Amino acid sequence: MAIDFETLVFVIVSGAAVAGAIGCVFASRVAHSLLWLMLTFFAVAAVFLMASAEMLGAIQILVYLGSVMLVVQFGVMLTRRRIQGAESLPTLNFISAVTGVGLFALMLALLREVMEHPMWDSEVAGAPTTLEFADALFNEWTIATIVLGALLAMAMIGASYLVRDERLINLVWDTGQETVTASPGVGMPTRRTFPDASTGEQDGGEEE
Amino acid sequence: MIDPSWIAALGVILFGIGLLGTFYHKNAIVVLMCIELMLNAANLNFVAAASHYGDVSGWVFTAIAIAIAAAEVAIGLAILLSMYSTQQTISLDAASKLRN
Repeated sequence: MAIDFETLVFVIVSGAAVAGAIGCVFASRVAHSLLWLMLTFFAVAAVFLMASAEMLGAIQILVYLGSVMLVVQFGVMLTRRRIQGAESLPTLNFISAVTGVGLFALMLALLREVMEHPMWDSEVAGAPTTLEFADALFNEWTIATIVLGALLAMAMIGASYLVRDERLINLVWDTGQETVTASPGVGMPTRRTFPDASTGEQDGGEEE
Repeated sequence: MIDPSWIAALGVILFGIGLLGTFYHKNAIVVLMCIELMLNAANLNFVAAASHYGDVSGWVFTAIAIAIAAAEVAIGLAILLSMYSTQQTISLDAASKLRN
């Protein structure tokens, strides 16, 4: 009995993906979760390559591992103090055990449904090519691509709006002087000082 | 080529693990990562169907889903950072306010 080389590679890659996913869920620290998740994303990119979707594998590595994981890493670092330790550990009690068993049963049922679906009975037509992908993306799905660009722009603007700093002390020009001078230089707005602006959560509500 | 149903099965397994992690964790960033895992599982199913039928639409859907996932992560982390600056925690059990 000869084992196909491609099957062997697929088993190894999918095992890496599942191991990374399990490690992501059960790692005790957030940074370790992130590293396990990166292993999973690499493995999924490899599966994309094996399904001859080379472009999608490249997109997966560039977008997920290049930007999304970087953003999540920034999030981990910026909220670091309180999420290490006992607070990030998952809860282990009766309800979560029952939920885990139920989810496992759901996964088995779903696996059976997917594997035995009648759509797999037809002949395998083979993967499309990257040229067809580009043609479909920019001819057939042009409107969707444009709307997607608008959505990404709106998401980035919204994200930067959500994390803005509302305190007025950060919005005025910092001239490096501690006191308010009588006649500031031309083009320099007067530095406004607040007694507690640097310590408290000054809810100024000032827009730019 | 690999049988596409195997790729779909891998997608189902990854989806189940991601769903488990979404229910299992209290840390909002880990929950966000598990949602990314579930989106990737959906992408695997799209790719499996595309290579089974020879139709390129599954790849287009996958590209759109990846872009939407990037937008979702940016918005989600912005919300988490805003939550952290007002409540000093990102635990999903402790956070109970949307604004001060």
